[in-house]
Amino acid sequence: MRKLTKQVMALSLLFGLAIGLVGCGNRKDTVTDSGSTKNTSTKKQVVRIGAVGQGNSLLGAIGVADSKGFLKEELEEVGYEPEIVGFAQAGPAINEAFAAGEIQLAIYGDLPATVAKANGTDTTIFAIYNSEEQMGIFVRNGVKDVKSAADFPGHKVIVARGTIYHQYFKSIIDDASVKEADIEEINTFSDAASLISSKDADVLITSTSIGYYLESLGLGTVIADSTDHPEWTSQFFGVGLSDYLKENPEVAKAVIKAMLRGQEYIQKNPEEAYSIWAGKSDGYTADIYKKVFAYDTSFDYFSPEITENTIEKLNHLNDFLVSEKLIKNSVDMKNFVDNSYYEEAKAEYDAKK
Amino acid sequence: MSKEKDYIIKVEHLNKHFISGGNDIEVLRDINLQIKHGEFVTIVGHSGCGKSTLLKIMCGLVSYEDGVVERNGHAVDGPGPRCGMVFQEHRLLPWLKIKDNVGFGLKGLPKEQREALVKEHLELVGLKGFENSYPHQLSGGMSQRAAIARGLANNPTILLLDEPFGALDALTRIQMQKEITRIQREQGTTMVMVTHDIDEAIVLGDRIVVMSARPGQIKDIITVETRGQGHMRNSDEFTYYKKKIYGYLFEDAQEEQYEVEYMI
Amino acid sequence: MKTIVRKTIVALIIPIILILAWFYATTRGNIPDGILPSISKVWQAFLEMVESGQLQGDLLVSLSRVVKGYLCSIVFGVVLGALIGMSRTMKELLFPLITVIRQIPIIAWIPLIILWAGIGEESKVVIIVMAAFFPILVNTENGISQTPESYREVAKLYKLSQWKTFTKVYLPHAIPQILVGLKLGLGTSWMAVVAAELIAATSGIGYRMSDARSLMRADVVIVCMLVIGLIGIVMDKLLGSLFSLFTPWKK
Repeated sequence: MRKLTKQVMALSLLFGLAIGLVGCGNRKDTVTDSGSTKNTSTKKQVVRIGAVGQGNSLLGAIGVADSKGFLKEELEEVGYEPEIVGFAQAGPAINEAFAAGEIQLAIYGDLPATVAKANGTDTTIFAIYNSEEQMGIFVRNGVKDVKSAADFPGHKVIVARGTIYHQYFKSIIDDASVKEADIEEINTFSDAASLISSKDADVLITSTSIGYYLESLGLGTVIADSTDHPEWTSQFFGVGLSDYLKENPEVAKAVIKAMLRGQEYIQKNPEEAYSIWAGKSDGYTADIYKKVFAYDTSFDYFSPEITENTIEKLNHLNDFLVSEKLIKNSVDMKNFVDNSYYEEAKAEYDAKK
Repeated sequence: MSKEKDYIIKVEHLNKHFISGGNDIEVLRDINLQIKHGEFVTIVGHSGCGKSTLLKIMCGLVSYEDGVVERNGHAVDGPGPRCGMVFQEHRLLPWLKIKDNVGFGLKGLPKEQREALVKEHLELVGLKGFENSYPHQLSGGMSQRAAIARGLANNPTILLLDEPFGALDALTRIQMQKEITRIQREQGTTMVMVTHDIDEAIVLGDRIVVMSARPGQIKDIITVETRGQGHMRNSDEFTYYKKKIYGYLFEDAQEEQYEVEYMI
Repeated sequence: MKTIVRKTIVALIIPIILILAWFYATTRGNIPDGILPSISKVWQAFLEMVESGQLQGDLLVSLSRVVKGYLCSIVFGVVLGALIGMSRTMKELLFPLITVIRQIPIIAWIPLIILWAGIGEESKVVIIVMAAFFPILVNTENGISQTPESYREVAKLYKLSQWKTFTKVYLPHAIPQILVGLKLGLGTSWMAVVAAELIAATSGIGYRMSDARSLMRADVVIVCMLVIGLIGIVMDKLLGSLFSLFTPWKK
């Protein structure tokens, strides 16, 4: 019996250690695997870019760049190939993918990006996707008594926690002096539309694009949005794993150049841009996007440049997250962003013109 | 008329068919049998000769369409309180205590009367004190005794036994044979017992019904002259009956002389 | 006594090894917090959740849902199981359908149930019943229909009515099997409630896990998982002890 016990224990110990080592080792491999080898061959490296929503639903400047082939061109020039990965569960799912090293870059919101950073995932913001992501309050048909956030208590409100909508929600209820505890919140992003159509929820906090889309389906109305409160808007970023960016700076620069080309294209051909965006998701029309961007058709907010304003807004977000106990550690925003990629990319971009 | 009344069980021209797997099997053919009050009749034959079916028809558990079967003067159309049965497995319900098993058929009676009857019959079978035990705590022999107590608890006039000791070991079996003889004598219950054990049939029976295999027919009914004369087993009379019954049951192998040697 | 001590020690070997591996991986290895937080972090999170009363509150909500759903499942499962066990016609009528539905995992049902029953308490109870009722039904049916012919004959012999035969023979025989089904049903109820709360819920321990996930609080997720597992074990053991009280005739 003694001998057997010893053998069992020894085996189990080995087994346990093996798991631990494999676990550590695996993670490292996934990260370095898809990038660090400078290719001398003609085979291109794949860079996986996470995006919110199903399938290839990149919008904004990079969405246009993707559709017009700019993104592929820029990346191919430096020996890379893009693979867009959609995440139905939005920011939180992208964070998990980053933590596991499954994606190298992502286009997603400030709130989830900050949450990831605060929890130890080493990422860097290298570009702006949209410095003023507009959000709104969508109210279902038949719910007559909700005119503003003040009317939320007693209603079921869909708020996807850990996403940009979370902050907007908090901002508007604080503004209306409503306590969160008085509202019945439903935490989902992917099931939002079906819950609205099944009448299981009355209000949805979402982006204006989604809100207008639901309007077009006749499900309800966008009763308010953040166009009159720029401080309530969120920022959407281009984010990457820090190590990956450092080892493959051309990738970030290529993406930024694609964004610049995209932005220029949108400014010159806004109608076409609306159609391009509409074509990315079933049921969306160009009119929806026209409505979304009607408040400012300069499209300056698509500039990839990271500014002081960016950092200021991020600090504000950080304070919000800490005070709401959504993160435990503060994030040093100055070190979270890195505008050097933009600066180099812009210089190269201007030189080419 | 009084002659009729002497027969507690009467079977006349009973035929029984079963349909099994699409085949029509003749199980019993022209069975004629009359059993008197207080008799102990054993039925012996090969397995599958229909003797259990005959017993179950007498009991009322199996229906019959062709023939006359009467019990206590009435045609049998189902089980009744005046006819008890003991099976080869004790069939005590495992979730009931022995006292509740034995009293299973005494539902209509007031509590005291039921308890008294249970106690009396447990004593009768030699299980005094085991009222509150569960069946799994009893040995095979003891369980079968409890089953007998259950069968007798409501004082039936008839007790039918279907190979009741078949599942017991040889020594216990002999013990139980003594017990059942004693009980029958004390209570005076008419007993009809099916067995495949020739020795048992001879030792216990006043009369022995010898049945042949499919279809089941009565070959002979042997009256035992000196029943109850203590241990008959080694007597010549015993050997005589045994040889006779063997002869009936192994007709095809008449050439072989069966030396009857029985050692206990 | 000695065997219990030995058994407990042997049972703890693998968990202890896992804990050691966990400790090693989080201190020496370079697994980020997002994937596997350190033991101390998880412990911290646990203390916080208990102190604020959040853990207890969540557990209470989830457990009350389980109670409601489980009790409903017992009623449906035992009654229907007994009916199917007793009646050939019922079996032929219902059993094929039940067998087919049973193959569909509960996860697949959840979106449909939410669509039909909404996201309130009712839908959670429905989900639990869907999950727990099958093992109870199947085991009840089994126990009833497997009642040996020999016992049924005894009932016939003593001319018991259909109802009396059911209550005095079929049902007692089926009880041990029914209890097996009840045990399985409880475990399934507990799993189902967590699954139901992961999707569109506003309270409960499953909700807490989903919320923690949104905020990358792997430590909270792990606390929830451990608590869920522990409660499952406790419920199972309690039920087991309760059941042995009901079957004094089992050796």
